[in-house]
Amino acid sequence: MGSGTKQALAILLGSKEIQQRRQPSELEARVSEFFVAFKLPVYRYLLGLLGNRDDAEEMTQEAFLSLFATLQKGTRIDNVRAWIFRVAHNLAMNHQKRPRIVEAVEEAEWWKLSQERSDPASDSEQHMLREEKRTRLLRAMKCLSPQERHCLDLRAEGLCFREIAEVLSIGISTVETFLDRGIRKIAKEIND
Amino acid sequence: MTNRTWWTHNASHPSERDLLLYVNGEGGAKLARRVRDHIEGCWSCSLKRDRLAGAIAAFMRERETGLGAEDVSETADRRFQSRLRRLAQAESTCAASRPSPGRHPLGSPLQSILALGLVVAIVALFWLRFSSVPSVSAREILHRTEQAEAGRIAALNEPVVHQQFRVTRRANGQSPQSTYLEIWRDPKNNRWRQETQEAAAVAGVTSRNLGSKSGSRKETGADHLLIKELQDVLKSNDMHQNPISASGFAGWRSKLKNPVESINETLLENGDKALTITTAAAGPVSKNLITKAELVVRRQDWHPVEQRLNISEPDGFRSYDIRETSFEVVTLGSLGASVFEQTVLPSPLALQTSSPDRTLSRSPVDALELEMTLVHLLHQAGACLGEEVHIVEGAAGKLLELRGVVGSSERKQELIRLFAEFPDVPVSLQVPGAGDAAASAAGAETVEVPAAAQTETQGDHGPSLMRDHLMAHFALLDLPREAQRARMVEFSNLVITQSQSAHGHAWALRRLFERFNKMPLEMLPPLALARLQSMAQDHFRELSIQVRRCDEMLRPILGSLGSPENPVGGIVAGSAPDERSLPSRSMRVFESVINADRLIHGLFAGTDLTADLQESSSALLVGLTKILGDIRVAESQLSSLVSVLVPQVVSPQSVQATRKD
Repeated sequence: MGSGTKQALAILLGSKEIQQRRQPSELEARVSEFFVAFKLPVYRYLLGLLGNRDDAEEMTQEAFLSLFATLQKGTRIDNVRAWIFRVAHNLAMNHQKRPRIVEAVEEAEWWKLSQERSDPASDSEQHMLREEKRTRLLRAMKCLSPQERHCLDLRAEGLCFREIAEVLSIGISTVETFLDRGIRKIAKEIND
Repeated sequence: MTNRTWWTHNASHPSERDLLLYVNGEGGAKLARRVRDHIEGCWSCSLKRDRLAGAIAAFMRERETGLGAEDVSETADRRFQSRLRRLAQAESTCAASRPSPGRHPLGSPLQSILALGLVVAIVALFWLRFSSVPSVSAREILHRTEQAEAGRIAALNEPVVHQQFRVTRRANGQSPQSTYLEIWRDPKNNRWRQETQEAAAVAGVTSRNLGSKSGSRKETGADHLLIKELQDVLKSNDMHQNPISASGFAGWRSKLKNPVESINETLLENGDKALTITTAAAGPVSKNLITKAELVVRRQDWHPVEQRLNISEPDGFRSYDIRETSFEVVTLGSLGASVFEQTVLPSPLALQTSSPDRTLSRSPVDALELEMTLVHLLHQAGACLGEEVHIVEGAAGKLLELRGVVGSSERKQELIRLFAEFPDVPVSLQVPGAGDAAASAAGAETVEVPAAAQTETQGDHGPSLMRDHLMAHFALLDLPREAQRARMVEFSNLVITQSQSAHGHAWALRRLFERFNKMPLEMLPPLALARLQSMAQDHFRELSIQVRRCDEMLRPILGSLGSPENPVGGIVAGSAPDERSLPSRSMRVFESVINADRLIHGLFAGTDLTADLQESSSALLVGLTKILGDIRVAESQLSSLVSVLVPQVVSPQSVQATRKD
């Protein structure tokens, strides 16, 4: 891990944030470090929401550029990771309100993505079992509400309950409820 | 005592919530230790934990399989760094120009007040802007309205649309003048009848509402003139013959350059919600042309109920308020077949004149031939493709005249030279904004439209529906990404251009046949019919070429999205040979082309925010096939008609070569 990334994580974990207006060149370096540290989870979260790589890349960049603009104004950000996810989430929600061809990742899209990446070397019996299990899992994922799905996706990207609550602007107990419901729906399908 | 701690003190099981917190590493070290200790000795809770963990693992596996370990591309990384650098540089520039910290950012208190006032004004403007209904476009409202009317008509066999209107005319310095108008339309056979109040009563036609009023009010000469004047206005502005028509409004609107437009939600007198489209021409408008029009559409059923037209006048204003008082679609049988037999006036302008001088000077046959000769001249000059010049009823004792607006003085001179062979036909052409001498001297021929406090909605196009699909298609080419994108843009532009060309020919075809919507083509004198055939054939041929090109370009790309079963150019069910008259079939070609144009713009220019890619693609391919089928049948009908009625001496070739008999 480079020194820049360590510095970024130190800022994140220690909740020490930039409060003074800094020089643009200094901020540029900081935001670049944050970009290196968080771009992949943010991109993956957006890809899961939007199902389109170009859009996910574009919005990832937008989120980090917003970070630069916000820090430049001297705004205090306590948790940069949660802030970036929150901005990315809002950008994706706004994007989904616009007319589009590619829907948010639904069952069919997941199926297609999974098929593209499935292991062709496995034998047919294993393949059938896996397909059966996947079918049930996809059925369960289809039953998830958008909020349950967002909570699961954010949790999958390593955000804690408090951060998820911050990203989605909901209470921590609500996050617990959504995650509980989501996991139980999946557990019910794959265990029944 | 909380739920979380109760089970530890009572040697009971942890709650579902605590298990969830535990498997998620939440709830703190104390909770984690207690749950772990409990699970070690409790098979039941161990199983629950495993199920939760198994579900999480399955979700994660599936998610990882779907998303993969793909990182943001290197290109995207570089692009981000470049964007960030530009932003930082821009910030550096701004920072240099910011006021120093010790100084008041806005300067003196007076400046602060001015700044506050400016902010309030901006907020007020935004409020005004968003207090209207911005989420729906005028194009969409008109489209829905047209579709709703088509649906009402299609619901009945042999439908006849029966409408009654109250028309009020207001003019500068005159008291308002009102009359009633009643119309019957047979859209399938393109037949039309209209009556004013007294005439309807005399004819004994079943009048459902108007009859009750006829005792209290009789038609006068003024009533007749008012309706005649209104029809002239509609005709001059290429609006539909129907006094309130979404397609007519759309046609007029589409010809305006940079119109100022707004949409507002309003309430009708009975409390129903309505949407009002207000469209105003952005610049000077010639005399007798519409400067502003409003169409009120009832939201409940997308039915147009009112239209208000403001007309340019040299010395004041003139407006028409047309309000529908009754609307119904009935079967022809319920009215009696004779309802359309009362029509005695043929539509061509030459036979509509009321001046005895005109009718005495020429026989009706001569008049019709003259009219068709003049129309044919305009056709040969290419003026029929969207240019605002028309053969209209003449003034000052003249039978016909050429009137309209042209784009340049050169064009005006060209048309004047062309019509020089007809000294009896006055030419009244204007060139907007070119300082037309006569107009400027009188200060009367053009009327400035006041700057309306309305919202500009031009450029409200959304992102192209086809963008991603086209990008995927052109990505198959072995070309750099930029070149692929350039090809995609070129392709889209070409499709739109061809569609617009077809749109122009469809309108020309409609205007041509609308001249005969009350008069059977069989009644036309041979030369006039031959000229009609020549013009119609030109438009049909051009339409076929453009539509076929569109079809050939689009089918390979759209076929995978929504593939109709019919092959290119095949006769689909909708275009199977039927009993339609030639004008009626031509009108159907027009409607299909307009619909295809709308779909193409929706797909490639993003003009329809509600369009569905698959549905639009499928509808477009079916529509293109239908147009080609209809054109073939129409051409065949036209040829048959002409071969029977026109003597061999008047061949279309001779018509093409002859300008004047």
